[in-house]
Amino acid sequence: MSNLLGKGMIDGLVVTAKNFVTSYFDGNRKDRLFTYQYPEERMKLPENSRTFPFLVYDGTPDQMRCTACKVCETECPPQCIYIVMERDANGKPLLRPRVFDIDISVCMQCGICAEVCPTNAIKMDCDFERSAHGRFETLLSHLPELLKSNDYYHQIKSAEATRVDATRKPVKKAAAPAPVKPMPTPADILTEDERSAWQRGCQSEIGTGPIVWPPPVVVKKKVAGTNTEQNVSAAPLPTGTPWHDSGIDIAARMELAKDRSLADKLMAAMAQLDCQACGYDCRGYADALASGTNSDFTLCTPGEEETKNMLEKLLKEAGKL
Amino acid sequence: MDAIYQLIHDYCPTMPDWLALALAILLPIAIVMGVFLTVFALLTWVERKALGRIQNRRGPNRVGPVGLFQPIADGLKLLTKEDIVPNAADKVVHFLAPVLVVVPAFMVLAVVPVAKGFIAVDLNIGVLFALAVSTASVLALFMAGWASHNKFSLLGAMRGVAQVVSYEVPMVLAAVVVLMASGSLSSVSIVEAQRGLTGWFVCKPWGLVGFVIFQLCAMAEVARTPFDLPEAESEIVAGYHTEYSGFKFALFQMGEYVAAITMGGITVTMFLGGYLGPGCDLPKFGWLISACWFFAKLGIIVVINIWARGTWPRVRVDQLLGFAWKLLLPLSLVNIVAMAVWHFAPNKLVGWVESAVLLAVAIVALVKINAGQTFEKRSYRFTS
Amino acid sequence: MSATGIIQTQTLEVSLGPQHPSTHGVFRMDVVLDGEYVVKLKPVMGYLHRNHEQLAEKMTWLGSMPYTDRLDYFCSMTNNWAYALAVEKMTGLKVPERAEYIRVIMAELTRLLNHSCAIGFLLSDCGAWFTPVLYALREREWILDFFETVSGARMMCNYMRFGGVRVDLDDASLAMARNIVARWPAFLDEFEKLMTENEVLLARTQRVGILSRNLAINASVSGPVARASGVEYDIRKVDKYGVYDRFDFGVPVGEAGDTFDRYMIRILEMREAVKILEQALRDIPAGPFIAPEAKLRNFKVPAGDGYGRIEAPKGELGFYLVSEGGAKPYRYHVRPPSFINLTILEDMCLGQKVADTVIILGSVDIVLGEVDR
Repeated sequence: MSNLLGKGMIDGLVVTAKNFVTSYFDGNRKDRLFTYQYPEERMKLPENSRTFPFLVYDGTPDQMRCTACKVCETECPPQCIYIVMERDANGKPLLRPRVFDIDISVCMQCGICAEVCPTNAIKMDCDFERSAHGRFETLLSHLPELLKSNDYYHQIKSAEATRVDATRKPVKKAAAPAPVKPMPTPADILTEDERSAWQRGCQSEIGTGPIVWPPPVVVKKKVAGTNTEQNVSAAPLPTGTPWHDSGIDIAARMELAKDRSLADKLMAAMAQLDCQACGYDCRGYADALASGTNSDFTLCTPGEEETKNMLEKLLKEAGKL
Repeated sequence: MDAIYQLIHDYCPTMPDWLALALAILLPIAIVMGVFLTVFALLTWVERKALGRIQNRRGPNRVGPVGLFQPIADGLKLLTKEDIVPNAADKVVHFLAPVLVVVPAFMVLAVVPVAKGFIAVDLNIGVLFALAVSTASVLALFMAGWASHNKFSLLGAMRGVAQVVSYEVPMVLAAVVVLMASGSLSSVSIVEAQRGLTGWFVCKPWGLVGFVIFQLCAMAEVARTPFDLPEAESEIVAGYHTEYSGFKFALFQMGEYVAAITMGGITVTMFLGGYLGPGCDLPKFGWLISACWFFAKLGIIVVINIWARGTWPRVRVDQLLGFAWKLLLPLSLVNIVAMAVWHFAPNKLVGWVESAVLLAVAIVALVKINAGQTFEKRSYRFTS
Repeated sequence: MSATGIIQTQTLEVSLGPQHPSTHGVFRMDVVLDGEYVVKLKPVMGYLHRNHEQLAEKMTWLGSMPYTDRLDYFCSMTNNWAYALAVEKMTGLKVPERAEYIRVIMAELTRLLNHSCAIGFLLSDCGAWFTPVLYALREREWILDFFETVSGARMMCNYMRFGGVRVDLDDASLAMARNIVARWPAFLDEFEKLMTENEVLLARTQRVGILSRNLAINASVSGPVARASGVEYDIRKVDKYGVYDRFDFGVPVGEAGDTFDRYMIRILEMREAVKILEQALRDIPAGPFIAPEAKLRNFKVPAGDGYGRIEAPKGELGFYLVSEGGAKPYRYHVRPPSFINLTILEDMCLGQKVADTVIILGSVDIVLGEVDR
């Protein structure tokens, strides 16, 4: 040390004294006193910031964008989303969730649900004041409190919301009946069986695939009636569908199903999520398309364009279109 | 005390003698305790505020205006907390230790002249009393560490004992020059000996060195940064009071702060002219002005303490002891010689020069000897 | 016999941690003391183990990305990068140039953030009572604000994606980054004035906790700890991953390998990081910020294995991944710098005082999220 002994200590005192004095004349508040005095002043969160997910609706809460396709449920890393699709009295799916629960205490705010959502329905909120007194019910968000209007979305993230609006097609939900009724809570819609089925699902290994619930039995009965395709197909056993894995991409899935029947090929083109956004599971929708009971090939929401194009191509080749 | 006794006799001649005596004893105690407890509460607030600003925070600002009632809130909180005594602790000693920390800290206040003519007891061995009693806190400290039956407490207590005992020596030797100059052990006579424009002992070379040594030792004795080893939080959790909670912990804090104030008061009395200052001799409000002077000077000491706490890291235990024995002790001995040289010099100027040169040579030599092998200059190469 | 060899004394076994103010989390050191001297030290880890690797093997490739944030929670950006780099190596995804620049900017800002806090906490361990930490946190706030503006979260950024980054940097955020880079040298000057020449600090840190060059190499220590011991090893120079070969910067190397060197190396590295940032912010090209062929859902990696490593602020951070060709990794292994650097703790601490163990631990700069995983 070439310096005088003690100079370093005096220098330190000078620095702290400077900080002491200038903190009283802190024009640009963040130069010195960088803390926000929380209850009085709240930090303005930047547009990109993400706290917990919420669901966007256009117009009224009935016109929610969510189609209950369960992509977010599948992709959510900590598995904190739980979705049950709404059905009418005949068991026909209504392309909207009946139950949409997010466990805030499990959610880690990663925003992957918002990234993967094919319909721009789930977005990340900017509300950070979510503390509660209980650990269980109070931290479980149900559909009614998750639904927030597109106006709110514009309010918190205007640039992003405008971008989303530009890419969205006009809402074509007119077909879906919109019964105005109070939003049910899981307590009054889940039967005892459903609850135990859900619990069993939870106990199964994390990430082994989407939890298929409720078991898709309704649709299969319909297919059984039209036995034309089943005679042709070599072995359309439920176990003989190696492509039924959402992790495999579409080209590989088609490759796996290339020697199979039309129904199998159609099934391989689906997103393999059994999400029932179309109203069936993947097997059922494929059979319905192949048999002609349903001719609308655009219903597979999670599969996006590639599934639609592939279905169109397959149906054209088979002369069904 | 005698003055109050006389006063009571004059105004209330019918009062029984024992009651007058009791009042004369209790009244000064009440006043001194009241004043210094307020000062203690204020000091905790000032320290937290100042440290906050040093560290770019706001400090306490929730309770009362600018957080002024924070000490009260803290006190209430600590009072209502559960008092936890470890199972393996020596219960009696564990209980006694916090009491014994506070008592000596307050006892020293008896001999600190707060204002002109305002001293609880003007003992003729005042300084000796102060130094002796303030050291007694080390006993409580070791009791706390030993009785807690916790290894961190024990380490803290061991450090505390080593530290206080080591620093007591240069501290007393630094005080010796003041006693030599004033020729008395009474704190009032020491203050009165510092009258005049440059009368304060700190304005003399030996006084300045003595002041620095005394201040450093005082900081070490009451365990303030950079000598806060007995309770070094980053090393041994909270040292000797790790196992104390609730009001006992509050007593430790109080003892520590009051000790810091009283050591500051003694420093002011011995080197900074005590209550002396322009206007302290006015007939009517002299006592008030002199009290203001005393507390202003005390404030300077407190600011130095807080400032150092907010800036410097802590020394290590071997460096701490080395500093006391290798640097402060020889220097304080040389300081006594310098005082003697000053005293026997033919005139003031010669005394000034002689003692200043002597001390300067001693400081340079001691620093050279001690610091030579301690620090090195480093250079770094860059590869790309 | 005591360490001084003169008097017979009894040793004292102290468990520093897991509830201890200076173990940087829930870390424990079983220390055997002879007076104040350390005669034996055993690091005990695992209090924060949360099954990171096993968890990742049950999750999609993308699903592990937010979990890597939680490894070294100071440096989520570099953790993301190391993981993305490993996956990109296996899939052959080509990262667009703009994304590479953005990654460099983020990684170097993370280095500033991490090093300033690391030395702040080191000084706090020395007993400087939080002043340096709070100065470091004050400046860190600027970087965290920037991270939040860009990625949406202050610390758990979850920003990188396979083949690029998640959100583009617009002009406003680039200006923000430039502002941070412009004010950083002034902060460093203030910080150095506060502490670097402080005699107490010099006495506390010089010749304390010496790590020899040979031991550093043999224990595969990396990062600033290794460079302080004279090991010229920086993966930014060795691998030249990303676009690091385009920048002009030096790697500071120390000689003594003591605590003071580790402190100084971090300060010098911050000054070099500022240089890199200036160049990156000047040269950043236009273009896509994520590879067009990269996809989020149904992402799968061809069968095989790959090891991606980067120079994280704490040292070499590597991800070793094995794929069976599916949507999930078959094996997922992290090489955390904090954990490897911690293995030589006892060698550095023996014969020192108990107060030194704390600052030696502070100078190694560990984050328990990464040590225990």
